[in-house]
Amino acid sequence: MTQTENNLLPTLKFYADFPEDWDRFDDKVRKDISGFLKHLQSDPFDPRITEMSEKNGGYYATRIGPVVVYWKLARREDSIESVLAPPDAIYVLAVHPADRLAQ
Amino acid sequence: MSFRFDRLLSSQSSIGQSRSSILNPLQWMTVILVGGLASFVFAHAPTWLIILMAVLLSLTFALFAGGFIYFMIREPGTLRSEMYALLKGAMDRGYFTADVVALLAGQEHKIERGQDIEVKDAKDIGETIQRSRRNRPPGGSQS
Repeated sequence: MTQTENNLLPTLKFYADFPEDWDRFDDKVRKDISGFLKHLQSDPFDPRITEMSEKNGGYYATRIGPVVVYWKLARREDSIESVLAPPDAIYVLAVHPADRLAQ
Repeated sequence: MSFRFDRLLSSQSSIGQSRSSILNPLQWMTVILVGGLASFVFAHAPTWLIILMAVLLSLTFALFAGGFIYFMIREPGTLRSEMYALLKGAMDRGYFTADVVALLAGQEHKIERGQDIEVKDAKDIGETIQRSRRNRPPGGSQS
């Protein structure tokens, strides 16, 4: 990826305690989460992502193997760009074990 | 065989006959205006009436096309039928409990105040986390 393309990607903003959660994941889960976030960052409006996600207001929950990643597309409030423009950032708000959330 | 009007009504009011998508009213409006325009032309109606109908049709179609592109990108699920939305809702796995939503709102607020870890490219997640850990005061949490 070129430097210019890299600058066009929305920044990923993780919750502050993410490193502690990251340490608890095994290599496979880390690789899967990285792969998902890479996909999300390169194409935030990909219908395949939204279809595999549960939505609540502006929040999305996507199951990645044994965990659920909660995320949100963020845009500056003063932004006057088109609503179709890519988001300024993607907030990764939480990562929870899926079995703890199962009904 | 007796004719059961109540059964006919009940079958016609089933969920399968419900609004097919968010743009369905605009589709019907377009059909009605096309029918009206064709009728006016056929009946040799006054020119201003035909022009008015054509303008209304163009506006409706532009709104339909704009809406379709918008929802295709932002909310593709709304272009599907209500039945699909109901089935998808039933299939949802309950990831959003009240506690989780409250937690997410709190985390979002913290991120907006700058208590976050920024990663420019997803492939650098591991590296960025290592770096943020090194920069963190010992035993302290940013949250």
